[in-house]
Amino acid sequence: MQNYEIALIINPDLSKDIDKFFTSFEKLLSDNSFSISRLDDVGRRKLAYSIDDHNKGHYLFYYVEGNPENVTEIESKIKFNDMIIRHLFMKINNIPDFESLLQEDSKKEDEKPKKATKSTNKKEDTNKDDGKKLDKTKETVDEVSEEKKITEDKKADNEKEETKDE
Amino acid sequence: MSNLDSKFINYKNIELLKRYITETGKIVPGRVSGVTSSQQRKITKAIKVARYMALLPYTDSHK
Repeated sequence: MQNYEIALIINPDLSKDIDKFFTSFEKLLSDNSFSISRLDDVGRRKLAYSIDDHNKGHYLFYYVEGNPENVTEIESKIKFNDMIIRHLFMKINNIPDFESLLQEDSKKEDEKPKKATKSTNKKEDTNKDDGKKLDKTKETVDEVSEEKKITEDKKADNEKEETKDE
Repeated sequence: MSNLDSKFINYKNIELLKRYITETGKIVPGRVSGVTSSQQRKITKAIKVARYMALLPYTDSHK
């Protein structure tokens, strides 16, 4: 048995039907005797470059455990799934116990009021679509912000050190 | 730099990785970034994975 991290970018147009995708993909995993340890649903993010004319993508991270022989079978199924615009299988030693470092775009907008004013209409739309998800994310916001603080502190430390070096 | 914990050099930690790419999206060479060679290798790999997952750009002239 081997631990894997499956990173998926889902077609943002189909973000509403994400529940259908969960059931179908989790069935695919269980059919190949993979067990899901954790799922990180990051949500929609802007892509660094457009993939198949998509500028946004719905990021999912599955942490699974299973037999290496079945990986190719799952990958071939993923290739022919139109909902998935990009995927990545990674062998990992341990399933991380901390929350994903990635954040949904809308969360960033909350922190930066300048950007939020620009895209208020969009934001409302996503709120309606992802009403359920937002409730979930609200719970995790505290944890994430704590993490952010840690990373920011680290950054500050690093910068201090850099200036010393100079 | 002890703060560059190997746990944090991950392709999803784009806030960290962003500091090791130039404005044009190139990876900053180890002699410039000043990190240890082992950290530089991990950063380089993480950046390349992050590029594949569209978390970081390959270049500044996409589209």
